[in-house]
Amino acid sequence: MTTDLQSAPVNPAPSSDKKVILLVEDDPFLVGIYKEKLLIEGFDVFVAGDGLEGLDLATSRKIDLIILDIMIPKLSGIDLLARLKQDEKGKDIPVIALTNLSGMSNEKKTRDYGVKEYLVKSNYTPNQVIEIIRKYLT
Amino acid sequence: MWLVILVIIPSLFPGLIKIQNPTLLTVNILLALFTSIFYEVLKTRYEKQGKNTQLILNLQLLTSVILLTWFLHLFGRINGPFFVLYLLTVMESALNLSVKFPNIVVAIAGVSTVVEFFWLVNVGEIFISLYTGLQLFVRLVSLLFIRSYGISLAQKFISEQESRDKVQSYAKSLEETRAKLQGLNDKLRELDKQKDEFVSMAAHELRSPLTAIKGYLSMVVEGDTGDIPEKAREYLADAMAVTERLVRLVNNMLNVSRIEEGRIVYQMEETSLIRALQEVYNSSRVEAERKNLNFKLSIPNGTGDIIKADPDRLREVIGNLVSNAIKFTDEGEVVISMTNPKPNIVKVEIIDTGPGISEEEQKKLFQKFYRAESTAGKTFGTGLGLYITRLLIEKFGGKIHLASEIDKGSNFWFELPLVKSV
Repeated sequence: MTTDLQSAPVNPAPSSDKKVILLVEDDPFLVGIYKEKLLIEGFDVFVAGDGLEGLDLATSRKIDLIILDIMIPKLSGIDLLARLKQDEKGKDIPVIALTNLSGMSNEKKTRDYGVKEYLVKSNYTPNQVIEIIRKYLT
Repeated sequence: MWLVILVIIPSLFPGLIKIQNPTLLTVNILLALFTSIFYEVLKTRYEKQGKNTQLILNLQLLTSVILLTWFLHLFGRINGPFFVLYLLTVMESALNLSVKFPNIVVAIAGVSTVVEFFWLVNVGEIFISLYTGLQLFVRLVSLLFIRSYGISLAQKFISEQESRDKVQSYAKSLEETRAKLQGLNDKLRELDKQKDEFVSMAAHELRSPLTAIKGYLSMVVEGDTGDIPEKAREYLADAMAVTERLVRLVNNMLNVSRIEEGRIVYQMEETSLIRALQEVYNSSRVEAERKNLNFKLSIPNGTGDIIKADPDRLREVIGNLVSNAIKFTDEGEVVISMTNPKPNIVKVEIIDTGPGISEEEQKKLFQKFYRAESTAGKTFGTGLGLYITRLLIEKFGGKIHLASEIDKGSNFWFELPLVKSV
């Protein structure tokens, strides 16, 4: 598996009515799975391999929903949320935390920032994740 | 100081004093003054330096007794009333906490008294005066009383001092023990925190690869990669089931400490028990079919099922019970059934035809880390599943029960209150 995280994201055609998902995830295997699944399901996908890149993409592109890992390099998911909520453009984008960190403090922190769902990755198949995403994209 | 008084007062009545030499008198007054001042200064200095003053006190006492004896002799007949000063010296020595000193003082006083008498009377007249002999006798006897009084006083002081020391040393050792325990407690808390952090990190590390395995498998099974041969589908389904089990194990590991410490957030909401049962039933079917078990879900029409619970935890509870039933049953059936024994209660039963559980083991089954002996070595697990199940059901306001008979099978069941009566 050699997913190059720094490469340009899968660039969506600007005119299409496809929903655009930003996937912030640093594990190349998981990027492979979710990106693949999102594309199959007809979404456009941006991938960010760290928090700074994720924040940059979220505030500079038109994003419909963010799938956010919490333990990511450079800027943690929670710090990213804090900065996103202060951004005029970014503060209304629905965010789903998809992480393998479980525990009260993390879940509470992200929910305080208005995260829609807090999902523990290993408890969900990609299909189930897609179902949950669709709930917030109407 | 009384030495000074002893010297000065008789000096006021020079006619009565045996020695009439003023120079000798002055020397004696100065000697008394000097000794008193010398020891006081020495004591103060020792105390300032934090040294033990016991030696000084003892020397002072010894000097006092010797001087006392000397002065009593010098002042001759007038010394009578001052004989009582020996009593003072004995008491002072007793206060110095030495049992030996009263003996020494009394011995010196005794000897000096006898010598004094022989000095006063002529050797030839020794038996003449009955009065003088009586006086000598009374003095010596009174010295014996003084001695025993001084010794009892000293002993009393010593034993009081000892018990005070004992109490103090108890208090000190108590304080030391308390500090030690506090230290250990802090250390344990720190270790516990490290353990939690480690478990949390380990679970995170385990979950990532598990998610990838589960994700790819499910995508292949669900047809994202196109058609797959029937046999391959079977194998993949098995792989899925085992992965599911691993995920559950990791979750249990994390959950148990969190539930116990109340560090878990429950998303309590009104939720459908039927939906949870169906989801568990669907995800467990593969494993039941693989073991050729008759796997049934029985819910009569119109059964009330809306309860207040955390939906994810509810699925965990049912998942744990159902996966146990399938794991331990080699032939026969596993039935999930739901009923309303009372209008405001819903009852869920998971009934299997497995090996059954002895009464002995039934009692211990819902305890932490307990694994039924009959199953040890046969399957893998942490012995946490049923413990967590019990804790969660109690959290939702219910209780878990078990009815089981060896070689017949087991029935795990729980009842929960309904939000609305049927």
